[in-house]
Amino acid sequence: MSAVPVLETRGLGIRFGGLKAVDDVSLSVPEGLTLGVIGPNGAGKSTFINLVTGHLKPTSGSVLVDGKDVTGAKPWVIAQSRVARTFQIVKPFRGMTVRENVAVGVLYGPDGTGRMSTALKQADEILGEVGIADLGDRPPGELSVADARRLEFAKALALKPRLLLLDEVMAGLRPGEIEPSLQLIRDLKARGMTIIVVEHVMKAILAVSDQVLVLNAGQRLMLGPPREVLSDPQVIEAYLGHKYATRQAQQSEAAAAAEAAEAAEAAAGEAATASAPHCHQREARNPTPTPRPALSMRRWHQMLEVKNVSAGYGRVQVLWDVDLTVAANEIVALVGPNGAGKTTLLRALSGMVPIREGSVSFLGQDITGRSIERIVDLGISHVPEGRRLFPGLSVKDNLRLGGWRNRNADLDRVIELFPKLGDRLSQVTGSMSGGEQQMCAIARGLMGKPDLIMIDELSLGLAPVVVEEIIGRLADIAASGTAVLLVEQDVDAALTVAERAYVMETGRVVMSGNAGELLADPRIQQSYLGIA
Amino acid sequence: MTGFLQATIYGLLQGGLLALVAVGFSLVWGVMNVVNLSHGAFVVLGAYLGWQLNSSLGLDPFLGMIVVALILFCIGYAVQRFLINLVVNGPIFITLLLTFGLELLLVQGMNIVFTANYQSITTSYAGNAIVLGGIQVPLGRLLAFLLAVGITVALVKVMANTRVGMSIMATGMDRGAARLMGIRARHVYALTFGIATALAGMAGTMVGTVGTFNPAAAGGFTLLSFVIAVLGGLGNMYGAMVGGLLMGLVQAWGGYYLSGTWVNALAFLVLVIVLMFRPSGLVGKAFYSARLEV
Amino acid sequence: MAAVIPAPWRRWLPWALGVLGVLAALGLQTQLYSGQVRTVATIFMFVALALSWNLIGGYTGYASFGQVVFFGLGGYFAAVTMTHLHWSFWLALPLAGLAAAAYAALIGVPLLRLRGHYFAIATLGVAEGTREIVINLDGLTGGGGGITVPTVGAAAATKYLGNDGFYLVYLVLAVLALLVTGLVSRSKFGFAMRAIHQDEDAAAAVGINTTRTKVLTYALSGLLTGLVGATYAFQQVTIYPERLFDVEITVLMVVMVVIGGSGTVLGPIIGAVALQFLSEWLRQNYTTVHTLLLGAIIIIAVVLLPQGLVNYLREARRNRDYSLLANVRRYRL
Repeated sequence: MSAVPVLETRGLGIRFGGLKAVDDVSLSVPEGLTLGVIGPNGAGKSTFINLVTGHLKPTSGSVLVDGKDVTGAKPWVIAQSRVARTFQIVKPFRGMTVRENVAVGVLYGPDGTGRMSTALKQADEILGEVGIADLGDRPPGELSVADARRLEFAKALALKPRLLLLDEVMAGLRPGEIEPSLQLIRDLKARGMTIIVVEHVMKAILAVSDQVLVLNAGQRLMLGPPREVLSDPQVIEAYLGHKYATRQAQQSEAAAAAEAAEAAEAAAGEAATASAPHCHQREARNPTPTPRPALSMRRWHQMLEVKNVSAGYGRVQVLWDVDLTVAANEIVALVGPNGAGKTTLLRALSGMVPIREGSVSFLGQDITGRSIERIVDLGISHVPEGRRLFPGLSVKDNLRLGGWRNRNADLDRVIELFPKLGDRLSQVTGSMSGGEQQMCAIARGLMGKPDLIMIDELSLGLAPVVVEEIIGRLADIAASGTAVLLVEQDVDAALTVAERAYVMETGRVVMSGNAGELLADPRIQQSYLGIA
Repeated sequence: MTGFLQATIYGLLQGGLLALVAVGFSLVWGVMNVVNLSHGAFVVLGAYLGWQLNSSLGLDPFLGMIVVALILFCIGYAVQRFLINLVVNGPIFITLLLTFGLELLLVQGMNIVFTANYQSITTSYAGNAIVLGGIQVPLGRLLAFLLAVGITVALVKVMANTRVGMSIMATGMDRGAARLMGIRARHVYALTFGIATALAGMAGTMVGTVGTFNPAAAGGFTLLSFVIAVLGGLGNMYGAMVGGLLMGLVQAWGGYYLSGTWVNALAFLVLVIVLMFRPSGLVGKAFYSARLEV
Repeated sequence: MAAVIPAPWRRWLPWALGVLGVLAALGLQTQLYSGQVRTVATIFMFVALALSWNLIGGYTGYASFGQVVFFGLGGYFAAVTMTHLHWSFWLALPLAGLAAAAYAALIGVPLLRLRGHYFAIATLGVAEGTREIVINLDGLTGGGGGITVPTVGAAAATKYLGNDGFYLVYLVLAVLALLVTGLVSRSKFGFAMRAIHQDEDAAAAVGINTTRTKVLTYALSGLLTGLVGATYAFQQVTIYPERLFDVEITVLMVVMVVIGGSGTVLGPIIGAVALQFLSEWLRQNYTTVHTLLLGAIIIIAVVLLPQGLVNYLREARRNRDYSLLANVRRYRL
């Protein structure tokens, strides 16, 4: 083993406009190490990989491979120096067979051969290694998600890499499909390959990493052994939100004081009605305000009914058999780790992604397969991921466009809800803070006076205090006659405000029920972080 | 000096008209990411319709323009709604080829109906000129310039302040988000194309009153629109104005100082350089970010 | 069908068919009237042009809408050197190709950084600008008045080849373009081209020097186009910038490739033969409306077969779905 690290970054950073996507990351990866990289959405993980592999030019710092400075080198130069990567969104070469896809890497890799027959033979060997030897003649468009990920893997292996960067190779895989990929990484590790694994599937990170690097807002939050890192309060906060982390800490204090805990449980037991035991635990130990009471009797009218819905993009299926209901005036949360299919579900409901099987009905009408515009007309409003405000237009114009379909130009109602917008009516939305943009997006969604508003990733990129402020308004929205379906990463925030919740994992609903009960369920943390 | 001033005035007058020729092209490109190779054909079609109205009904071209605009709006709306919308999500070859096929169809159609001979729309007053300090300002050109600038400014106002304009702008910025507001993208696309062809038609009628035209001129107008749209920034209507004026001045000055047609070579050189270094145009940013996915 | 033919045969089949095709073309020549010889020669010319556009536009995915610049440049290079320097056509022809290739490489380095529409427009701008330069270098090129290559008498270094001669030259150029396409499409280089078409980032990530590949492809495509242009100039004797830099030639190349199937070997050939044949037939039978009908055919073909005939048949056979409606649905709003 050489003393020179395979990969070293020194103060690596990149800015996009005013945003520091990766900020001053220094890191040294010795040979043979498997490094897991985690961090919430937008933490800069993929950007980090792009910087190392030359797909983005850093604005500061340097990258060294085997001690050689390759900062700003073209991607093919880096690939030639035996650094291979996969892409988060699989990028097969369509129009070639699976075998040819891999052969390209063999032909142009560091040991590039000019002989087609040799390359194809080697490609077959690599396909065998990743377990799709029998698919060599197929076009990549026909592969399942799992096999397409394996192809992505095989294309990287074709370069005979010393350093392999895997960008979410498990995303979208079903639980049973994850194990073979993990085994593959273990095999490569045993061969002495240095591997960097960017992953949201925490189980995978735990299973293969020697060390884990946590990125948050572009910065190195911490680096250490997996279990230690994943139980660190800072990390839990970054993933599950501030309040959840606080309560966790209190819980562990409580656990330390065993007697106090027992006493509390006893007290809770008296107050218990018919809920599960872990539910009492939560109520007893949690000093935060209890969520709004779930009114089961209000569920007399299911406004939105989703039955066995499957959907996806192209040949890639993302959702399997999803059932979900929302009643009038209800707040329902949809939580789950990244890549679980939450956004796709919302997009399927508003007609942006075609529904393959199953049906959706809204206010008694079947809306399966209707156009986006038609669904909006029926009274479903969708605040899309990333907000998608009209960037060059003022707040006022954005709001007026929100009321386009019903010619509603009355801004008072939404300004009452979000008074901050009132002061900013003539400001161009692009120049506002993230929180104000989110308020504007929700307000825009409400302008059409919908019966149901679906909000995707409300807290994305926002400070906790802002999230709290916005989430606080959801109850008012529901009270005024608009039901809310909220997709959220910040579990605590979502489950506190919601009455009921659904937990999604890899394209399926895995848990559902009363929000308060779910909040206390240890399986939630497991689904996010892989450990309870 | 008088010669230079005369060239400048001529260039500005011509530039205003060129701006109107190009503004619809720029709008279509900016809003729907379609490079409409048939744009020049619609300009020429407008010229012929204005000419026909003038010669058979005796309608003054500056009034006939309104009729021309209405007719071309309907044609444009139908073309987009029933034809271009069918391929609008395809790769660039596809929309380029489709609009080229349309161009062939229109140009040849005009060749058959109107013959390939040069025509011009004659009025009793357009040839008259105001003379200011030795500089000639032909009345027809002045009128065309004022109208062209007026229409462009009105268009900007309509876009920013009306319900239709807002829906077009929103669709151009982010089609998916606009549809989530309930804006019918298919209809908006057709409206946009209709507006663009109507503007092209009006520009064409005015081109016909200040000069000559024949079906073969279509390609030249498309190319000019191209250059102006790129100079001004796609979908940026004031940009098209500036690009048009710039183009008019370059042509006039080039004609005054340079021999032969070197000035055309210069224009394309400028185009390529602008594309290389400022693909969003010379005048500020492209207004539309043209987000097309749902 | 493919399954019926044994493997070693399948490998040689394209070659055998190619040789048969050439023999058939030579046999055909003896059976045609001289007017027909000219028509078929033009078909060969477009086959060569379509195949050369297919390299950069079809395989690599860069829509060169100024491809005619290499045609015009090759033509003018041959005409000028044959007129002023009294070069033999056989010397001027290959050098014209090389000149076009060099020009392609020169403009390719900056332009191939652009993508999509921007590349298309920039190349169109270069083509138009180059035409203007040719017009204005009138001492050399004769300007807008054209230039006439000496074909008879003492001034002629090469005697005019006549209909039969040009038939053979175009046939050779078409076969050359076919050979280049056939070889490139199966080679390492062809893999790089196709990879770049699909995804440039992914191509770079497996070690392909994308810049070099694109520039080389563009030069190769320019070379073939330039050769055809040089031949065309000699065939026409008198050439004008308006004709040799006519955007319509570019568009015809694109139409032929797209209709036949871009990024395939057979597609451009089928597209060129079909379109040119159809165009000629329309010209003879519907003289006044033939271009009009051509426009209509282009529109219908683009809407119904956006991926081209060859690709459509491949997909349809695999999915057992021959419906054209699925095609229309694909790019519809």
